[in-house]
Amino acid sequence: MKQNDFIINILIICGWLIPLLCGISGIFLKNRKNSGLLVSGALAISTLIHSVIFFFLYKGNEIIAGIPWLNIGKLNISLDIWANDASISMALLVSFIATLVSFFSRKYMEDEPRIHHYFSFLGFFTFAMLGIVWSENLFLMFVFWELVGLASYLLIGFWYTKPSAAKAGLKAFVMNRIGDFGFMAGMGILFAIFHDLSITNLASDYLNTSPENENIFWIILAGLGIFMGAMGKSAQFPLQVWLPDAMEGPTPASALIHAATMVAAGVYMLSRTVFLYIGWVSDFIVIIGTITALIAAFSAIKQNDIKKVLAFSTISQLGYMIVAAGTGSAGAAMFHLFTHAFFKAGLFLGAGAIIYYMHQREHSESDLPKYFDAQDMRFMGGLRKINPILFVGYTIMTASLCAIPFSSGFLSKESVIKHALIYAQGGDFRFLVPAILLITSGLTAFYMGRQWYLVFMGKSRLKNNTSFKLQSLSTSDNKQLIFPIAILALLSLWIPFSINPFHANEISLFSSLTSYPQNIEYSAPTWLPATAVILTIIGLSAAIYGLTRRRISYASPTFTSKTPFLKLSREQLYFNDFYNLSIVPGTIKLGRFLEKVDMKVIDGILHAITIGTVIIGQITKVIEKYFIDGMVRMVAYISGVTGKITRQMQGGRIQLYILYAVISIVFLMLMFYR
Amino acid sequence: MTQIELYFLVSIILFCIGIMIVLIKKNGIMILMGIELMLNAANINFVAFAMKSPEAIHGIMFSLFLIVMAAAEAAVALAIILRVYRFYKTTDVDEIADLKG
Repeated sequence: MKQNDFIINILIICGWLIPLLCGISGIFLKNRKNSGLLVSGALAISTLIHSVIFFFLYKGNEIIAGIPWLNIGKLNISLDIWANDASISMALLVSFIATLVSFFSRKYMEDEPRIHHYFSFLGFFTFAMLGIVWSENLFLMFVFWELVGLASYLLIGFWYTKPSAAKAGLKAFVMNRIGDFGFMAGMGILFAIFHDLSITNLASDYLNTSPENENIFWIILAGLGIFMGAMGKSAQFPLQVWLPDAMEGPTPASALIHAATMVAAGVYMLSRTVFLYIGWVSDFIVIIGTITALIAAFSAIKQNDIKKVLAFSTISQLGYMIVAAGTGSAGAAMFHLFTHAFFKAGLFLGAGAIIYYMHQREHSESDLPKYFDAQDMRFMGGLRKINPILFVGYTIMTASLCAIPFSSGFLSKESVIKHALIYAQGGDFRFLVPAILLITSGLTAFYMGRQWYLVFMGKSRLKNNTSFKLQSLSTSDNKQLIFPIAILALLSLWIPFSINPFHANEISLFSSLTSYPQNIEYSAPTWLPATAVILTIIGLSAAIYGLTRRRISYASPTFTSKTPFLKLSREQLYFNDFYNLSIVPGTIKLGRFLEKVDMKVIDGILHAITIGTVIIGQITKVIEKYFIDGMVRMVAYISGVTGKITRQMQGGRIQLYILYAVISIVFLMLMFYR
Repeated sequence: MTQIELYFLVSIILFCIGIMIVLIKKNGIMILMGIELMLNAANINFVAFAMKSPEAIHGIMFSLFLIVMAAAEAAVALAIILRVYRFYKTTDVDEIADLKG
């Protein structure tokens, strides 16, 4: 048994470090193209290692192993790995999606001159994300938390010469800092109360904490602080604005980081530390999640950028997961995280393939409108004909996102809403939570139906010419683009998670996805899936009916909605403008003020201290020169003079010695005379 | 002033001259002469005291002994000074400082 644990530890460390090492060494390759192959291979090896651990080696006993790292006073931080069902399956998920994305990127990014940087960022990201997955210690998790933030910043701003991309990267970074401030504060409180940051130790400490504890207010506040970290990373209201802007990065990176894994890190962290959220914090989490799910879904319905729609849908789905985590069902949250990771990564890769195709059109076709944008859905349409696998895969994953039966999304979303329903039994206004989630699932169906119809159905709106026929995106030439999508589409079906397409066996599923046992299975009332499906169908048909009726034939920038309600959605509820008008100028002014304070007051104090020191130095110099040196010199002078005198007495002149003898004899005689 | 005090006076003067010569003169032979003077001053003292008690002959014996000893001493010392002069080509006692540390 011990030996088995040891092998697992070694394998975990290998699977963890290989992507990083290959990513770094990829920078130094002579042929930059080969870095893609190197990193893809490294990620594939990492996936292989994790699947070996998951399927063969791991026997169900938790492993906590590590070495001590920092010992500062009472603060003992050790580099600990916490391997259990949840972390091993999460690590497998991360490395698997990273592998698919890196294979996809080799084709998608082939003409990029800085491709070696891209792949090293990808390897670095996988390393940091696996760090979050494995770490047992909140402090260690925070370190990797920041590292994935850095990777995200680098990838959002990958095309940093584009001002919007640089700005988006900065925005993501700053927004995450706000959340991380809470994370740090929470860690500080936890350390002050429990003198420990190890998650497993904290879990047992929390079990022993009674509600009458004198520090109970602070303990609850610590949960709020840690949740703020998840709010930043998982783009929850009111910090959600960075995620749509993060779509400035390369599309495959968005699939990996801003859809499947990094933004889900907040949810994963909540599921690891689910014991922290007690008292009113759990209600707060549920409220935040619900608001996020609703406003993001609402913002998505009038977006025209294919990636922005997916970004808002990611925020919305993250809201679902946060709600599930807030109701205490980490299992449902993790379940939705897994299904969402597959279909959303697939959707993003599908969008990437479509954008790739649209860029090809942009370069090969003439007489395109000046305002052509490869990501704008208004220029698409009729793309179902270009590649059947892409079309079918995208359709399956859209269905999964809309929670249509026979998809994985149906199972997980039902599970989330069911737990919200159980939460609603607590009374007060809690019935609003499942109600809003159900409405949101209708909205989800609406915006995804709209996207699906705009992209694939109808005729091409690329040119104002009915006889125009789109070229196909052949599978044989674009294997690396199509195969990852196909694999992810297959994983978005119900089969990987449950044999029964209408109901998942939650006990076995949740136990393999969470760190804490959750052994109660609730059965949902039959009206719940029925209502959800009906709302979904209403949403889908409303979208398709609305679009067929309008008959958009040729895209133009005037094709925007004038209705104030829909304009609200288009402008993303004016959150960006609100922040830009209120908080951003205030912050900049505060920054300027602080700069002035720094320049005038702090620098002034420093200058005064410097001048004072110089003056004191001059004074001490004088004292030293004339007083202390004088004393020393006096001692030296006295001994010199004494030496000069006494030296003469024994100068080797015999006659002098005789004189001394005579004088002393005379003295002696005078003394003894009487 | 009695007769014996006159002897003492002569002896003291002689002794002081001898000491001054020993202290002042650089020449080794002169220093030897100073030593001779001091010895003779002591001799005069012996003889003077012997005059006070003629029945005792210790004083006269001692002065005779001293004369012999002074002669022997002068012989040995002059021989040493001769050797020193041969070696150093000088008899200045300040020059002869080979043993000085």
